[in-house]
Amino acid sequence: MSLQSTHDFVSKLLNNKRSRDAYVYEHIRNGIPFQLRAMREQRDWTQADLAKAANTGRTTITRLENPNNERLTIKTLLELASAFDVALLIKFVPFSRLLKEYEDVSSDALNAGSITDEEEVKALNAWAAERDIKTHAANASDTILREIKGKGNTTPQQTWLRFVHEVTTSTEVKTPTNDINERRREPADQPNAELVQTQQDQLLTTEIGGQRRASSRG
Amino acid sequence: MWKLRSFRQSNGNTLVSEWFAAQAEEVQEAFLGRMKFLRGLPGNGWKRPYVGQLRHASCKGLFEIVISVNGVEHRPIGFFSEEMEFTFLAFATERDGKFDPITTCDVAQKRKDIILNHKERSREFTIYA
Repeated sequence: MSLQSTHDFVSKLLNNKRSRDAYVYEHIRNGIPFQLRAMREQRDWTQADLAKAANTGRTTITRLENPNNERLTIKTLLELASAFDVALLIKFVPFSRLLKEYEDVSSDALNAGSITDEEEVKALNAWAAERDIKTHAANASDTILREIKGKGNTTPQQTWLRFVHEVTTSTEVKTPTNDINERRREPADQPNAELVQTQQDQLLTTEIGGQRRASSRG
Repeated sequence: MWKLRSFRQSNGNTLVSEWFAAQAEEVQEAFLGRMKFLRGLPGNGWKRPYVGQLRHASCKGLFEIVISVNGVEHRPIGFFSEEMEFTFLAFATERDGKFDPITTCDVAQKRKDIILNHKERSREFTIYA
């Protein structure tokens, strides 16, 4: 860190190993205690409440919330993560990632919501839906590419229509059973379903016609 | 977000920048790291174990930031100059319940008086990254 400018800070980071080692150390030894306190207070928990949830003593929580205390173990962190019902991420990262991670260290930014929080459930379901769509799109793309390689005479329009059909109609995105946003799909939500079906019929007719022409030529 | 200010020496330099330049990298990062996280606390968040009110008579109205680095107890000293604003007046180390230098509180009180009469004798500073 620097008292002068961000540029001065980066220069120090690049050129002084003691500074960058100390930077990492300070963000760990301040980050965990400040985050513990922020998360506890956001939940309106006393130190005794957290101690009970983590199956430990109140004095242990007092010690863990003190950034001048240097005795933190991964086991303790896992127990605290379980008490808050949040995940714990411990991994090596480049400095550029660390800087972004700690740009905002306000109490609100440090708070991590429990998995049962409405916002967290929404975020998890949105992530699952996005991942499934990407996976289905990638699978459809692979299938079509294999078909193109096999036939060798598919037009770009046919390829696109086939792709749209694969993604929108031939797969079903499944959501977790506790999806609070679960609802029936209305016809209007199905993008161009009828149009896609019509275009798909035309595509198949064209393909069949092409095969017929090819066979008649042969 | 809390604002941080520092006493300005008669030569125009801030006390913080002069003290900071004389410290080892580990102490520099410890001070800036602690202040970075303290700035993000809500208005009522500056309390133990991060910040303590000094009890000795000569230290009345002064507060210390509690920072340990490699077994040395560093004590940046200051006062709450405005709402969510802290002004640094002196830097000391602590051993066996006593400040080094021993005149820390006296010097800090004089500087506080100067600032209260001449606002320009303090300057805001920020922490980058």
